[in-house]
Amino acid sequence: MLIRRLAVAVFALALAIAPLASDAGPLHPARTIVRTGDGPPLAVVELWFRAPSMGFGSDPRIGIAQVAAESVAASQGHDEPLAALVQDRGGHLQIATFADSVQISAVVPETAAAEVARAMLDDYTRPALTEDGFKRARASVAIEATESQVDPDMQLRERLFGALFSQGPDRYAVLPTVKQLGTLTYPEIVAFAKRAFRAENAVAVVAGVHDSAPMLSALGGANARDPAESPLASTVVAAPETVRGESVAGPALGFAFAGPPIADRRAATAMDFLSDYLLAPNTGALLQALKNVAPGAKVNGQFITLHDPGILLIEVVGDVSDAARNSVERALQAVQRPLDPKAFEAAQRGYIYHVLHDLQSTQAQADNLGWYAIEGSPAYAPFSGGVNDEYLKLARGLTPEYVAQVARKYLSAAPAVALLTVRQSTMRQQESAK
Amino acid sequence: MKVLARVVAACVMSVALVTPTLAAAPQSDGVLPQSAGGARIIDLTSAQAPVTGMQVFVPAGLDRQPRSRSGLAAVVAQTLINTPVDGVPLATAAARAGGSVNFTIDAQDTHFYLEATPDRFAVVASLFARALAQPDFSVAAVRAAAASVAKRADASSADGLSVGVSMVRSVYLAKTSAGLPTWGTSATIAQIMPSDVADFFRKNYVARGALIVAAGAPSPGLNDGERAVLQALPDRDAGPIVTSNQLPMVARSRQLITHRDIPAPWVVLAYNAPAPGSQDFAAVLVIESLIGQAVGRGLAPPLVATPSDAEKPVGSLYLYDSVPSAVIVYANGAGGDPTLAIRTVATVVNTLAASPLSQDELALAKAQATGDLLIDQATLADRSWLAGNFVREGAGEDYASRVLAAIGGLTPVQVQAAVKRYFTQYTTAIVLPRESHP
Repeated sequence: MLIRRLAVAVFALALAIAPLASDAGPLHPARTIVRTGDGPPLAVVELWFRAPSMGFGSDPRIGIAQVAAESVAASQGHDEPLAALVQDRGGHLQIATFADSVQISAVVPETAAAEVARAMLDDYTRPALTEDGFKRARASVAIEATESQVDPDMQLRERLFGALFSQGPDRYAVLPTVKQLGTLTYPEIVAFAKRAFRAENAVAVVAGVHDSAPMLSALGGANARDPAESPLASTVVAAPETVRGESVAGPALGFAFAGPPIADRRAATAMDFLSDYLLAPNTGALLQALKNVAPGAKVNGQFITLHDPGILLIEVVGDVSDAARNSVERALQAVQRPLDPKAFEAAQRGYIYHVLHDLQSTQAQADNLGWYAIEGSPAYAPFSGGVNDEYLKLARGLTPEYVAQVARKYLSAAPAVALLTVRQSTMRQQESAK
Repeated sequence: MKVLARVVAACVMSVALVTPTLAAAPQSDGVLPQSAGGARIIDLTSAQAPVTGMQVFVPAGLDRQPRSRSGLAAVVAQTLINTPVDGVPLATAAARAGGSVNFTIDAQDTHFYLEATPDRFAVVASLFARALAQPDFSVAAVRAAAASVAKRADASSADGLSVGVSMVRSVYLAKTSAGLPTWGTSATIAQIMPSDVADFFRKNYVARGALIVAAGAPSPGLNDGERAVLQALPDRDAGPIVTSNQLPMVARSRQLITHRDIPAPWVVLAYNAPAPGSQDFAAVLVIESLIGQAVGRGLAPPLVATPSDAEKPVGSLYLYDSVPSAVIVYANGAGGDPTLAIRTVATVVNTLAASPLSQDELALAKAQATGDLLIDQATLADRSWLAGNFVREGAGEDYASRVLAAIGGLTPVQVQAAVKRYFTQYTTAIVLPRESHP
């Protein structure tokens, strides 16, 4: 046992000393997108990698992508850890994992953008992980995983996606349970990082800078290729089961429908319209429908544009009564018939406004550009080409009949349904508190 | 669209359960102050923004409310938002037109934020101007608005940070009604009559002292919108500020304690601080940033998470929406022992007062203060509020960029002097759970 521990230590030390990437040549992300801005001198620098959240192997290792990404940010790397560098330059670093991608994002004063971009690219694509960084990352992910246990959105998603998909990255949670986290080993984190965080598997995005030249120089020029890893599709279950469970995050009710892939842009745009029509805060049709039957309920959701398939999520938090569920189902039936032209026009104006409103911050613009690029359709990113770009043309070209047709195609299929009730122990605590 | 169901990430900014967002630096070269009637107009338009926004400040803040009518400013604004235009409430009409209208109440003004796609902005501004010209102050309308504001007052009362901030504001803003809680209380809201609403509106929704900040994408509707809004505001002075002699202004260290239905205690410390325009403002921004970083790091935060202020176990805020201003430091007992954060603050302050920062330490502190100031101006609403706030406080329309330059020029001695000047005495607000609460 001692010998084995020593061997692991020696192996780890070797890994820590030597950068993992053998290619010491110039670093070039597969694609680099720089969007200049004319606002305050604040920049967003992002790297996106195409990598499944649960790893590349056949045995799902839940949370491996998040732990690997945070391990790099916390490791000493080539100079000071990226997380510390970003903070010392007055910025914030965020790391997010999605089903088939990893996002590293730094919001920093523009004066530090080139330095941070260079360090981020270097640290990730030539990772020099340390055991210490791995330990810090594990501690951080443990906190995030614990917080997700009380987040109804996370709890519903996990169950809905598990029910909707039989295989593929969308089936799995992106954050591990504490038990799953404990099984992730340093060597497998290193192996994952080595494959996932290659320059040729990266999309680099910069937004908000006033001059693109220093950023292009820091990122090694402007390529426009696809990431090296192929996008993974998830397989939809023909008749998903209703999942019932207890959670401290309950009560909550969720629906998930498989939607069009990103390649079918017109249909994906119609799903965006439907999502906004049903779920927009304050004005959404679903909120109006629930006002009388479930007045305290919160309605949430979105159409997630993905490689294949997209997913429409609908969540009702705070009321899981039959009346609430029936209201949701009636609203979903109603949109399968064309809306009255006047109502459609108003809804379309509201939808286009919400799309543009959500893109006013530099971070939102960078997120959007990165998301659509990593999902395989960079030109389709809303506002990527201003107010007359492809997305907004498609949005303005929608008709009541086409939207209803798309709704019939995707919303008449059986959705995955998840029903969360409050965990009994939580209820007992609440009772005794009273 | 949508795009990102963020799994881990959190919003970077969001100051604001309790205060307006502390946004930052507009570009000085985009600022074109003008005046029209008694109001000022500032232009912060930027060609690459996706939407057009307009922030309309009217001198109808908390400070003009009678103390017995706390919540009145909010009820008036809410009534306006509910006023029927083309048969539906203003907010609904704006949404159908492809935009939005909302409001915020500050110590010294009420401000409405209008936003729309550039091609629809004129329509939304016109809807707002029509509501402003003919508000519905009927009994039913005022009752509905009061009910809505009372809900927000109740929610605010159940939030430990919000309660603590209100308590310290009631001390450092004690000279006028500006220290009253933003949403009032259920009891005071119940006293508000339609005649109070009409009277407050008539006296304080006026052009003199009003300010319009245009931001975002240029729109042919902006000029028309500004004109329409200004035409709806009579050209006269606002009503008097309501003063009080309840508490002395100059604080020595004191402690306030209250109980609420909250799960864990909150501690809020407030230091009197210089308002925008003061020569010490940049130095105190840096100190506030330093304290916030120090208490945050002291409690071992997650590696990369950036929670909102309400979610942080500890943090600091510079409340410069009013004159006088304050720096607050807060600790949430749910995130650990709040006295640890308080001790950390004391240590930081004592250290900073005892000896000046090294140049390296100061460089890091400056970077953090600069980053905080920039990060807080993510949206057009933030940016237009900040510009308007600085103008209203007499600091000037290019003040945000001047503050960034001032931060860059600070010396260790200046920071040390500011610590000694402002961080020796403070007010402590402690919000405790009621005994029946777990």
